[in-house]
Amino acid sequence: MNCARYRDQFSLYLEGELTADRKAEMENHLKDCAACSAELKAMRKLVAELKGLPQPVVPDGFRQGVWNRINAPAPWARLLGVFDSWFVKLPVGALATAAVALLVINVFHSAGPEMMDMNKSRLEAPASVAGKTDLAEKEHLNVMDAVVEEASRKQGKLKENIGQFRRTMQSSSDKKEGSQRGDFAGSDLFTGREAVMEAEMAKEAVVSAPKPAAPALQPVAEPAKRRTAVPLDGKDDEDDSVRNEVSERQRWPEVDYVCLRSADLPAAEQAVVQFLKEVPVQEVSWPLPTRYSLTMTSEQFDLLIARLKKLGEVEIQQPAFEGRMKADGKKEQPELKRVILDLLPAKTLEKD
Amino acid sequence: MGPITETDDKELVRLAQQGDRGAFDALMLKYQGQIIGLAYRMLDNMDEAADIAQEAFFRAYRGLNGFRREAAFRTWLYGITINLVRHKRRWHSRHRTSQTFSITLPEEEGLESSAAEEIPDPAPDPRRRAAVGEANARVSEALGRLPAPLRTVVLLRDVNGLPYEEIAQICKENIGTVKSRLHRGRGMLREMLGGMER
Repeated sequence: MNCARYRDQFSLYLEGELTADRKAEMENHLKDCAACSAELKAMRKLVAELKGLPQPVVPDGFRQGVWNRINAPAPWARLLGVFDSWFVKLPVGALATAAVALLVINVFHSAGPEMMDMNKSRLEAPASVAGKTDLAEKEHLNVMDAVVEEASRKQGKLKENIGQFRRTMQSSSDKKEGSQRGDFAGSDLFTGREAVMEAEMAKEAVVSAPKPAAPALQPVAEPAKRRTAVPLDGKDDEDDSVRNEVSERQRWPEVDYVCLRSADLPAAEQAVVQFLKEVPVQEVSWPLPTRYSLTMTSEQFDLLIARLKKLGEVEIQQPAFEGRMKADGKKEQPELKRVILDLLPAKTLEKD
Repeated sequence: MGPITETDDKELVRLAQQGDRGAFDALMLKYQGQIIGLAYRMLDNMDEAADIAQEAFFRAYRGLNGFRREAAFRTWLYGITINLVRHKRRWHSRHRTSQTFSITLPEEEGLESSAAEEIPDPAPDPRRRAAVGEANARVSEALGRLPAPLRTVVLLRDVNGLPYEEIAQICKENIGTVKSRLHRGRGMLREMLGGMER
Protein backbone atom coordinates (compact mmCIF):
# COMPACT_ATOMS: atom_id res chain seq x y z
CA MET A 1 0.00 0.00 0.00
CA ASN A 2 2.76 2.44 0.90
CA CYS A 3 5.13 1.45 -1.89
CA ALA A 4 4.39 4.53 -4.04
CA ARG A 5 5.11 6.84 -1.12
CA TYR A 6 8.41 5.11 -0.41
CA ARG A 7 9.41 5.10 -4.07
CA ASP A 8 8.78 8.86 -4.25
CA GLN A 9 11.50 9.22 -1.67
CA PHE A 10 14.09 7.00 -3.33
CA SER A 11 15.98 9.99 -4.71
CA LEU A 12 16.15 11.66 -1.33
CA TYR A 13 17.19 8.36 0.22
CA LEU A 14 19.98 7.91 -2.33
CA GLU A 15 21.07 11.50 -1.79
CA GLY A 16 21.14 10.94 1.96
CA GLU A 17 18.66 13.71 2.52
CA LEU A 18 16.04 11.82 4.52
CA THR A 19 15.76 12.48 8.21
CA ALA A 20 16.91 9.69 10.52
CA ASP A 21 13.34 8.64 11.28
CA ARG A 22 12.34 8.57 7.62
CA LYS A 23 15.53 6.75 6.70
CA ALA A 24 14.87 4.05 9.33
CA GLU A 25 11.30 3.75 8.16
CA MET A 26 12.47 3.39 4.53
CA GLU A 27 14.98 0.70 5.43
CA ASN A 28 12.36 -1.24 7.38
CA HIS A 29 10.05 -1.14 4.37
CA LEU A 30 12.82 -2.26 2.01
CA LYS A 31 13.46 -5.30 4.19
CA ASP A 32 9.82 -6.33 3.87
CA CYS A 33 9.13 -5.29 0.21
CA ALA A 34 11.12 -7.10 -2.45
CA ALA A 35 9.59 -5.01 -5.27
CA CYS A 36 10.63 -1.72 -3.71
CA SER A 37 14.02 -3.16 -2.89
CA ALA A 38 14.49 -4.17 -6.55
CA GLU A 39 13.31 -0.76 -7.72
CA LEU A 40 15.75 0.98 -5.40
CA LYS A 41 18.49 -1.22 -6.70
CA ALA A 42 17.59 -0.29 -10.29
CA MET A 43 17.51 3.37 -9.35
CA ARG A 44 20.92 3.14 -7.75
CA LYS A 45 22.22 1.43 -10.86
CA LEU A 46 20.75 4.18 -13.04
CA VAL A 47 22.43 6.90 -11.00
CA ALA A 48 25.72 5.02 -11.22
CA GLU A 49 25.31 4.68 -14.98
CA LEU A 50 24.57 8.37 -15.29
CA LYS A 51 27.64 9.24 -13.27
CA GLY A 52 29.67 6.89 -15.42
CA LEU A 53 28.59 8.35 -18.73
CA PRO A 54 31.83 9.26 -20.49
CA GLN A 55 32.48 12.76 -21.63
CA PRO A 56 32.40 13.12 -25.40
CA VAL A 57 35.71 13.53 -27.14
CA VAL A 58 36.68 17.19 -27.41
CA PRO A 59 36.99 18.09 -31.09
CA ASP A 60 40.43 18.89 -32.38
CA GLY A 61 41.29 22.56 -32.31
CA PHE A 62 38.43 23.35 -29.94
CA ARG A 63 40.35 25.82 -27.79
CA GLN A 64 42.07 27.30 -30.82
CA GLY A 65 38.60 27.94 -32.22
CA VAL A 66 37.72 29.87 -29.07
CA TRP A 67 40.91 31.93 -29.34
CA ASN A 68 40.16 32.59 -32.99
CA ARG A 69 36.78 33.99 -32.01
CA ILE A 70 38.37 36.06 -29.26
CA ASN A 71 41.04 37.42 -31.59
CA ALA A 72 38.66 38.09 -34.46
CA PRO A 73 37.73 41.77 -34.84
CA ALA A 74 34.32 42.80 -33.57
CA PRO A 75 31.53 42.99 -36.17
CA TRP A 76 31.56 46.79 -36.16
CA ALA A 77 35.32 46.74 -36.65
CA ARG A 78 34.91 44.37 -39.58
CA LEU A 79 32.35 46.73 -41.01
CA LEU A 80 34.70 49.67 -40.61
CA GLY A 81 37.46 47.56 -42.11
CA VAL A 82 35.59 47.65 -45.40
CA PHE A 83 36.65 51.27 -45.70
CA ASP A 84 40.29 50.20 -45.71
CA SER A 85 40.04 48.66 -49.15
CA TRP A 86 41.23 50.88 -51.98
CA PHE A 87 38.15 50.36 -54.15
CA VAL A 88 36.05 51.85 -51.35
CA LYS A 89 38.62 54.44 -50.29
CA LEU A 90 38.95 55.91 -53.75
CA PRO A 91 35.31 56.86 -54.41
CA VAL A 92 34.77 57.87 -50.80
CA GLY A 93 37.79 60.14 -50.94
CA ALA A 94 36.66 61.59 -54.26
CA LEU A 95 33.18 62.22 -52.91
CA ALA A 96 34.58 63.87 -49.80
CA THR A 97 36.81 66.13 -51.90
CA ALA A 98 33.94 67.05 -54.18
CA ALA A 99 31.71 67.80 -51.18
CA VAL A 100 34.33 70.11 -49.66
CA ALA A 101 34.84 71.85 -53.00
CA LEU A 102 31.10 72.35 -53.45
CA LEU A 103 30.83 73.71 -49.93
CA VAL A 104 33.60 76.24 -50.51
CA ILE A 105 32.13 77.33 -53.86
CA ASN A 106 28.67 77.65 -52.32
CA VAL A 107 29.97 79.76 -49.44
CA PHE A 108 31.75 82.21 -51.76
CA HIS A 109 28.89 82.20 -54.22
CA SER A 110 26.29 83.12 -51.63
CA ALA A 111 28.53 85.59 -49.78
CA GLY A 112 28.63 88.01 -52.69
CA PRO A 113 31.41 90.04 -54.24
CA GLU A 114 32.29 92.07 -51.18
CA MET A 115 33.18 88.89 -49.32
CA MET A 116 35.54 88.07 -52.12
CA ASP A 117 37.08 91.52 -51.75
CA MET A 118 37.44 91.12 -48.03
CA ASN A 119 39.15 87.78 -48.44
CA LYS A 120 41.36 89.25 -51.09
CA SER A 121 42.32 92.09 -48.79
CA ARG A 122 43.11 89.59 -46.08
CA LEU A 123 45.41 87.75 -48.40
CA GLU A 124 47.05 90.97 -49.48
CA ALA A 125 47.36 92.34 -45.98
CA PRO A 126 50.80 93.74 -45.05
CA ALA A 127 53.10 91.40 -43.14
CA SER A 128 50.77 88.71 -44.25
CA VAL A 129 49.42 86.45 -41.58
CA ALA A 130 50.19 83.50 -43.76
CA GLY A 131 53.72 82.27 -43.49
CA LYS A 132 54.48 84.05 -40.24
CA THR A 133 53.20 81.64 -37.71
CA ASP A 134 55.76 82.76 -35.14
CA LEU A 135 54.41 86.31 -34.90
CA ALA A 136 54.04 87.60 -31.38
CA GLU A 137 50.48 87.87 -30.19
CA LYS A 138 50.60 91.65 -30.21
CA GLU A 139 51.98 91.83 -33.71
CA HIS A 140 49.36 89.38 -34.84
CA LEU A 141 46.60 91.48 -33.34
CA ASN A 142 47.99 94.56 -35.11
CA VAL A 143 47.87 92.74 -38.41
CA MET A 144 44.32 91.64 -37.74
CA ASP A 145 43.39 95.22 -36.86
CA ALA A 146 44.86 96.34 -40.18
CA VAL A 147 42.84 93.72 -41.99
CA VAL A 148 39.65 94.75 -40.24
CA GLU A 149 40.38 98.39 -40.94
CA GLU A 150 40.95 97.63 -44.60
CA ALA A 151 37.69 95.70 -44.74
CA SER A 152 35.86 98.53 -43.00
CA ARG A 153 37.31 101.03 -45.44
CA LYS A 154 36.13 98.92 -48.34
CA GLN A 155 32.71 98.56 -46.77
CA GLY A 156 32.55 102.34 -46.25
CA LYS A 157 33.42 102.85 -49.90
CA LEU A 158 30.80 100.33 -50.87
CA LYS A 159 28.21 102.17 -48.85
CA GLU A 160 29.21 105.39 -50.52
CA ASN A 161 28.71 103.67 -53.81
CA ILE A 162 25.32 102.44 -52.69
CA GLY A 163 24.31 105.92 -51.60
CA GLN A 164 25.45 107.35 -54.91
CA PHE A 165 23.56 104.59 -56.66
CA ARG A 166 20.42 105.38 -54.74
CA ARG A 167 20.64 109.06 -55.54
CA THR A 168 21.35 108.37 -59.16
CA MET A 169 18.48 105.95 -59.40
CA GLN A 170 16.18 108.35 -57.63
CA SER A 171 17.09 111.26 -59.89
CA SER A 172 16.70 109.18 -62.99
CA SER A 173 13.47 107.47 -62.01
CA ASP A 174 11.46 110.05 -63.95
CA LYS A 175 13.40 109.37 -67.10
CA LYS A 176 12.79 106.60 -69.57
CA GLU A 177 14.21 103.21 -68.75
CA GLY A 178 16.83 103.25 -71.46
CA SER A 179 18.57 106.30 -70.05
CA GLN A 180 19.53 104.56 -66.82
CA ARG A 181 22.32 102.60 -68.41
CA GLY A 182 23.89 105.85 -69.51
CA ASP A 183 23.58 107.38 -66.07
CA PHE A 184 25.43 104.56 -64.44
CA ALA A 185 27.99 104.34 -67.17
CA GLY A 186 28.77 108.02 -66.68
CA SER A 187 29.37 107.66 -62.97
CA ASP A 188 32.96 107.42 -61.84
CA LEU A 189 31.91 105.22 -58.95
CA PHE A 190 30.72 102.40 -61.18
CA THR A 191 32.90 101.27 -64.01
CA GLY A 192 32.85 98.61 -66.69
CA ARG A 193 31.10 95.36 -65.91
CA GLU A 194 29.88 96.54 -62.47
CA ALA A 195 28.08 99.47 -63.99
CA VAL A 196 26.48 97.37 -66.69
CA MET A 197 25.38 94.76 -64.22
CA GLU A 198 23.95 97.26 -61.77
CA ALA A 199 22.15 99.12 -64.56
CA GLU A 200 20.60 95.91 -65.79
CA MET A 201 19.53 95.04 -62.27
CA ALA A 202 17.95 98.42 -61.73
CA LYS A 203 16.23 98.19 -65.10
CA GLU A 204 14.87 94.81 -64.32
CA ALA A 205 13.72 96.04 -60.91
CA VAL A 206 11.81 98.87 -62.49
CA VAL A 207 10.23 96.64 -65.08
CA SER A 208 9.31 93.71 -62.92
CA ALA A 209 8.38 95.38 -59.66
CA PRO A 210 4.70 96.00 -60.42
CA LYS A 211 4.02 92.40 -61.37
CA PRO A 212 1.64 90.94 -58.84
CA ALA A 213 3.22 87.49 -58.85
CA ALA A 214 6.09 88.40 -56.55
CA PRO A 215 5.90 91.97 -55.48
CA ALA A 216 8.29 91.70 -52.57
CA LEU A 217 10.86 89.24 -53.75
CA GLN A 218 11.16 90.07 -57.37
CA PRO A 219 12.15 93.72 -57.58
CA VAL A 220 15.86 93.26 -57.13
CA ALA A 221 16.72 90.79 -59.82
CA GLU A 222 19.88 88.79 -59.57
CA PRO A 223 22.55 88.23 -62.17
CA ALA A 224 21.48 85.81 -64.84
CA LYS A 225 23.93 83.11 -63.73
CA ARG A 226 22.06 82.71 -60.45
CA ARG A 227 18.79 82.12 -62.19
CA THR A 228 20.13 79.32 -64.30
CA ALA A 229 19.60 76.90 -61.46
CA VAL A 230 16.06 78.03 -60.88
CA PRO A 231 13.94 75.88 -63.25
CA LEU A 232 12.20 73.52 -60.91
CA ASP A 233 9.33 71.92 -62.68
CA GLY A 234 10.41 72.25 -66.29
CA LYS A 235 7.68 74.73 -67.23
CA ASP A 236 9.18 76.89 -69.94
CA ASP A 237 6.34 79.40 -69.94
CA GLU A 238 6.62 80.14 -66.25
CA ASP A 239 7.22 83.74 -65.39
CA ASP A 240 10.75 84.59 -64.35
CA SER A 241 9.47 86.44 -61.35
CA VAL A 242 7.82 83.31 -60.04
CA ARG A 243 11.00 81.41 -60.61
CA ASN A 244 12.95 84.06 -58.75
CA GLU A 245 10.61 83.95 -55.83
CA VAL A 246 10.97 80.21 -55.58
CA SER A 247 14.71 80.58 -55.88
CA GLU A 248 14.86 83.15 -53.12
CA ARG A 249 12.85 80.98 -50.79
CA GLN A 250 14.94 77.98 -51.58
CA ARG A 251 18.18 79.73 -50.86
CA TRP A 252 16.96 81.45 -47.72
CA PRO A 253 14.18 79.28 -46.38
CA GLU A 254 14.71 80.54 -42.85
CA VAL A 255 15.05 84.32 -43.36
CA ASP A 256 12.61 87.13 -42.78
CA TYR A 257 12.26 89.04 -46.00
CA VAL A 258 11.60 92.77 -45.61
CA CYS A 259 11.06 95.19 -48.45
CA LEU A 260 10.90 98.92 -47.80
CA ARG A 261 9.42 101.05 -50.55
CA SER A 262 10.31 104.62 -49.89
CA ALA A 263 9.82 107.80 -51.88
CA ASP A 264 13.05 109.13 -50.39
CA LEU A 265 15.54 106.36 -50.74
CA PRO A 266 18.62 108.33 -49.63
CA ALA A 267 16.82 109.25 -46.43
CA ALA A 268 15.78 105.64 -45.98
CA GLU A 269 19.35 104.56 -46.59
CA GLN A 270 20.61 107.01 -44.01
CA ALA A 271 17.96 105.90 -41.54
CA VAL A 272 18.99 102.30 -41.95
CA VAL A 273 22.66 103.19 -41.56
CA GLN A 274 21.78 105.21 -38.48
CA PHE A 275 19.81 102.28 -37.14
CA LEU A 276 22.77 99.98 -37.68
CA LYS A 277 25.02 102.44 -35.83
CA GLU A 278 22.65 102.59 -32.90
CA VAL A 279 21.67 98.97 -32.70
CA PRO A 280 24.45 96.42 -32.40
CA VAL A 281 23.05 93.73 -34.66
CA GLN A 282 24.91 90.47 -34.91
CA GLU A 283 25.95 90.66 -38.52
CA VAL A 284 25.61 92.99 -41.49
CA SER A 285 26.49 92.40 -45.11
CA TRP A 286 25.48 93.68 -48.52
CA PRO A 287 24.95 90.78 -50.87
CA LEU A 288 23.66 93.27 -53.44
CA PRO A 289 23.91 97.06 -53.53
CA THR A 290 20.21 97.41 -52.82
CA ARG A 291 20.07 94.69 -50.24
CA TYR A 292 21.07 94.26 -46.62
CA SER A 293 21.61 90.87 -45.05
CA LEU A 294 21.23 91.18 -41.30
CA THR A 295 21.41 88.83 -38.34
CA MET A 296 19.63 90.20 -35.32
CA THR A 297 17.46 89.39 -32.35
CA SER A 298 13.68 89.48 -32.50
CA GLU A 299 13.65 92.68 -30.44
CA GLN A 300 16.07 94.34 -32.82
CA PHE A 301 13.95 93.14 -35.72
CA ASP A 302 10.85 94.70 -34.23
CA LEU A 303 12.76 97.94 -33.68
CA LEU A 304 13.93 97.94 -37.29
CA ILE A 305 10.43 97.36 -38.63
CA ALA A 306 9.07 100.18 -36.47
CA ARG A 307 11.80 102.45 -37.83
CA LEU A 308 11.17 101.40 -41.43
CA LYS A 309 7.44 101.95 -41.19
CA LYS A 310 8.13 105.65 -40.61
CA LEU A 311 10.03 105.77 -43.89
CA GLY A 312 7.61 104.17 -46.27
CA GLU A 313 5.63 101.10 -47.12
CA VAL A 314 7.03 97.96 -45.53
CA GLU A 315 6.33 94.46 -46.76
CA ILE A 316 7.36 91.53 -44.62
CA GLN A 317 7.46 87.88 -45.57
CA GLN A 318 8.00 85.61 -42.64
CA PRO A 319 9.64 82.23 -43.17
CA ALA A 320 7.50 79.15 -43.32
CA PHE A 321 9.51 77.60 -40.50
CA GLU A 322 9.76 79.91 -37.55
CA GLY A 323 10.95 77.45 -34.96
CA ARG A 324 10.15 74.22 -33.30
CA MET A 325 6.75 73.68 -31.79
CA LYS A 326 6.77 73.94 -28.04
CA ALA A 327 4.70 71.72 -25.76
CA ASP A 328 1.96 74.31 -25.48
CA GLY A 329 1.58 74.41 -29.25
CA LYS A 330 3.23 77.82 -29.68
CA LYS A 331 6.12 78.13 -32.01
CA GLU A 332 9.49 78.65 -30.47
CA GLN A 333 11.12 81.71 -31.94
CA PRO A 334 14.80 81.38 -32.72
CA GLU A 335 17.12 83.62 -30.73
CA LEU A 336 18.58 85.20 -33.83
CA LYS A 337 16.80 86.06 -37.07
CA ARG A 338 18.29 86.34 -40.49
CA VAL A 339 16.76 89.27 -42.31
CA ILE A 340 17.03 90.30 -45.92
CA LEU A 341 16.16 93.96 -46.30
CA ASP A 342 15.61 95.53 -49.70
CA LEU A 343 15.26 99.27 -50.13
CA LEU A 344 13.28 100.13 -53.25
CA PRO A 345 11.88 103.33 -54.71
CA ALA A 346 8.19 103.78 -54.11
CA LYS A 347 7.63 105.28 -57.55
CA THR A 348 8.33 102.03 -59.28
CA LEU A 349 5.11 100.71 -57.80
CA GLU A 350 3.17 103.38 -59.52
CA LYS A 351 4.55 102.50 -62.92
CA ASP A 352 2.42 100.58 -65.40
CA MET B 1 34.37 14.96 -12.42
CA GLY B 2 37.24 15.93 -10.24
CA PRO B 3 37.03 17.60 -6.90
CA ILE B 4 35.77 21.14 -6.87
CA THR B 5 38.81 23.34 -6.85
CA GLU B 6 37.15 26.68 -6.49
CA THR B 7 40.26 28.29 -5.09
CA ASP B 8 42.19 27.34 -8.21
CA ASP B 9 39.41 28.72 -10.34
CA LYS B 10 39.41 32.03 -8.47
CA GLU B 11 43.14 32.39 -8.91
CA LEU B 12 42.91 31.52 -12.59
CA VAL B 13 40.03 33.94 -13.08
CA ARG B 14 41.98 36.67 -11.27
CA LEU B 15 44.95 36.12 -13.54
CA ALA B 16 42.74 35.99 -16.63
CA GLN B 17 41.10 39.25 -15.61
CA GLN B 18 44.58 40.77 -15.50
CA GLY B 19 45.13 39.70 -19.09
CA ASP B 20 46.81 36.34 -18.56
CA ARG B 21 45.58 34.34 -21.52
CA GLY B 22 47.31 31.24 -20.25
CA ALA B 23 45.10 31.32 -17.16
CA PHE B 24 41.97 31.43 -19.27
CA ASP B 25 43.34 28.65 -21.44
CA ALA B 26 43.77 26.57 -18.29
CA LEU B 27 40.16 27.21 -17.36
CA MET B 28 39.09 26.13 -20.85
CA LEU B 29 41.19 23.01 -20.60
CA LYS B 30 39.57 22.20 -17.28
CA TYR B 31 35.95 22.71 -18.28
CA GLN B 32 35.82 22.06 -22.02
CA GLY B 33 34.81 18.40 -21.64
CA GLN B 34 32.01 19.18 -19.18
CA ILE B 35 30.65 22.05 -21.25
CA ILE B 36 30.76 20.15 -24.53
CA GLY B 37 29.19 17.09 -22.84
CA LEU B 38 26.38 19.17 -21.34
CA ALA B 39 25.65 20.89 -24.66
CA TYR B 40 25.87 17.62 -26.56
CA ARG B 41 23.42 15.84 -24.28
CA MET B 42 21.05 18.77 -24.46
CA LEU B 43 21.19 19.14 -28.24
CA ASP B 44 22.07 15.64 -29.47
CA ASN B 45 24.35 17.13 -32.08
CA MET B 46 28.11 17.23 -31.65
CA ASP B 47 28.75 20.03 -34.14
CA GLU B 48 26.20 22.28 -32.50
CA ALA B 49 27.46 21.30 -29.06
CA ALA B 50 31.03 22.26 -29.94
CA ASP B 51 29.82 25.53 -31.41
CA ILE B 52 27.75 26.33 -28.33
CA ALA B 53 30.66 25.46 -26.05
CA GLN B 54 33.03 27.70 -28.01
CA GLU B 55 30.50 30.51 -27.85
CA ALA B 56 30.14 29.98 -24.09
CA PHE B 57 33.90 30.28 -23.53
CA PHE B 58 34.04 33.26 -25.87
CA ARG B 59 31.32 35.04 -23.92
CA ALA B 60 32.94 34.13 -20.64
CA TYR B 61 36.20 35.66 -21.84
CA ARG B 62 34.47 38.80 -23.06
CA GLY B 63 32.59 39.11 -19.79
CA LEU B 64 35.52 38.39 -17.49
CA ASN B 65 35.89 41.99 -16.39
CA GLY B 66 32.30 42.08 -15.21
CA PHE B 67 32.53 38.75 -13.42
CA ARG B 68 32.40 39.00 -9.64
CA ARG B 69 34.76 36.56 -8.11
CA GLU B 70 32.47 35.82 -5.16
CA ALA B 71 30.52 33.55 -7.48
CA ALA B 72 31.99 30.32 -8.80
CA PHE B 73 33.39 30.49 -12.30
CA ARG B 74 31.94 27.06 -13.01
CA THR B 75 28.42 28.16 -12.06
CA TRP B 76 28.74 31.19 -14.28
CA LEU B 77 30.08 29.20 -17.20
CA TYR B 78 27.37 26.55 -16.88
CA GLY B 79 24.75 29.28 -16.74
CA ILE B 80 26.03 30.80 -19.98
CA THR B 81 25.99 27.39 -21.62
CA ILE B 82 22.45 26.56 -20.49
CA ASN B 83 21.23 29.92 -21.81
CA LEU B 84 22.86 29.31 -25.18
CA VAL B 85 21.38 25.82 -25.31
CA ARG B 86 17.92 27.21 -24.56
CA HIS B 87 18.25 29.74 -27.36
CA LYS B 88 19.41 27.03 -29.73
CA ARG B 89 16.50 24.79 -28.84
CA ARG B 90 14.07 27.67 -29.35
CA TRP B 91 15.67 28.31 -32.73
CA HIS B 92 15.21 24.64 -33.58
CA SER B 93 11.59 24.71 -32.48
CA ARG B 94 10.93 27.78 -34.65
CA HIS B 95 12.68 26.36 -37.68
CA ARG B 96 11.58 22.75 -37.16
CA THR B 97 14.99 21.40 -38.02
CA SER B 98 14.35 18.16 -36.23
CA GLN B 99 11.47 15.72 -35.98
CA THR B 100 10.00 16.18 -32.54
CA PHE B 101 7.52 14.57 -30.25
CA SER B 102 6.11 15.50 -26.89
CA ILE B 103 5.94 13.60 -23.67
CA THR B 104 2.85 14.18 -21.60
CA LEU B 105 3.86 15.44 -18.19
CA PRO B 106 1.87 15.86 -15.00
CA GLU B 107 1.21 19.47 -14.10
CA GLU B 108 4.21 21.15 -12.60
CA GLU B 109 5.22 24.74 -12.32
CA GLY B 110 7.71 25.61 -14.99
CA LEU B 111 7.15 22.43 -16.92
CA GLU B 112 4.51 23.58 -19.34
CA SER B 113 4.67 21.57 -22.49
CA SER B 114 5.79 24.04 -25.11
CA ALA B 115 7.34 23.96 -28.50
CA ALA B 116 10.64 24.89 -26.91
CA GLU B 117 10.52 21.80 -24.77
CA GLU B 118 9.82 19.38 -27.54
CA ILE B 119 12.48 16.78 -27.75
CA PRO B 120 14.52 15.91 -30.78
CA ASP B 121 14.04 12.47 -32.17
CA PRO B 122 16.69 10.37 -30.43
CA ALA B 123 17.50 8.36 -33.51
CA PRO B 124 20.75 6.55 -32.86
CA ASP B 125 23.61 8.82 -33.82
CA PRO B 126 26.55 6.73 -35.04
CA ARG B 127 29.04 9.15 -33.53
CA ARG B 128 27.25 9.02 -30.21
CA ARG B 129 27.20 5.25 -30.17
CA ALA B 130 30.85 5.17 -31.08
CA ALA B 131 31.64 7.70 -28.41
CA VAL B 132 29.85 6.34 -25.41
CA GLY B 133 29.74 2.69 -26.25
CA GLU B 134 26.82 0.34 -26.58
CA ALA B 135 26.47 -0.16 -22.81
CA ASN B 136 25.73 3.50 -22.19
CA ALA B 137 23.73 4.03 -25.34
CA ARG B 138 20.45 3.08 -23.70
CA VAL B 139 20.92 5.54 -20.86
CA SER B 140 21.99 8.28 -23.25
CA GLU B 141 19.01 7.59 -25.45
CA ALA B 142 16.64 7.68 -22.50
CA LEU B 143 18.23 10.93 -21.35
CA GLY B 144 17.64 12.37 -24.80
CA ARG B 145 13.94 11.71 -24.40
CA LEU B 146 13.60 13.55 -21.11
CA PRO B 147 11.93 16.97 -21.22
CA ALA B 148 14.60 19.65 -21.22
CA PRO B 149 14.02 21.04 -17.70
CA LEU B 150 14.24 17.55 -16.18
CA ARG B 151 17.15 16.57 -18.39
CA THR B 152 19.08 19.69 -17.40
CA VAL B 153 18.76 18.93 -13.72
CA VAL B 154 19.59 15.21 -14.13
CA LEU B 155 22.63 16.06 -16.23
CA LEU B 156 23.90 18.70 -13.84
CA ARG B 157 23.33 16.52 -10.79
CA ASP B 158 23.98 12.94 -11.85
CA VAL B 159 26.34 13.35 -14.80
CA ASN B 160 28.28 16.47 -13.80
CA GLY B 161 27.89 16.05 -10.04
CA LEU B 162 26.96 19.63 -9.15
CA PRO B 163 25.40 20.39 -5.75
CA TYR B 164 21.75 21.44 -5.52
CA GLU B 165 22.59 25.03 -4.67
CA GLU B 166 24.72 25.46 -7.76
CA ILE B 167 22.10 23.82 -9.98
CA ALA B 168 19.48 26.16 -8.54
CA GLN B 169 21.67 29.15 -9.43
CA ILE B 170 22.34 27.86 -12.94
CA CYS B 171 18.68 27.09 -13.66
CA LYS B 172 17.47 30.17 -11.77
CA GLU B 173 15.08 27.99 -9.77
CA ASN B 174 14.74 27.31 -6.07
CA ILE B 175 16.27 24.22 -4.53
CA GLY B 176 12.89 22.58 -3.96
CA THR B 177 12.12 22.74 -7.66
CA VAL B 178 15.53 21.30 -8.45
CA LYS B 179 15.01 18.35 -6.12
CA SER B 180 11.54 17.75 -7.49
CA ARG B 181 12.78 17.76 -11.05
CA LEU B 182 15.64 15.45 -10.22
CA HIS B 183 13.27 12.96 -8.63
CA ARG B 184 10.86 13.17 -11.54
CA GLY B 185 13.64 12.91 -14.11
CA ARG B 186 15.11 9.82 -12.51
CA GLY B 187 11.65 8.26 -12.26
CA MET B 188 10.97 8.86 -15.94
CA LEU B 189 14.36 7.46 -16.87
CA ARG B 190 13.64 4.36 -14.84
CA GLU B 191 10.34 3.91 -16.60
CA MET B 192 11.93 4.34 -20.02
CA LEU B 193 14.83 2.02 -19.26
CA GLY B 194 12.44 -0.57 -17.74
CA GLY B 195 10.44 -0.47 -20.95
CA MET B 196 13.57 -0.97 -23.01
CA GLU B 197 14.65 -3.94 -20.90
CA ARG B 198 11.30 -5.61 -21.35
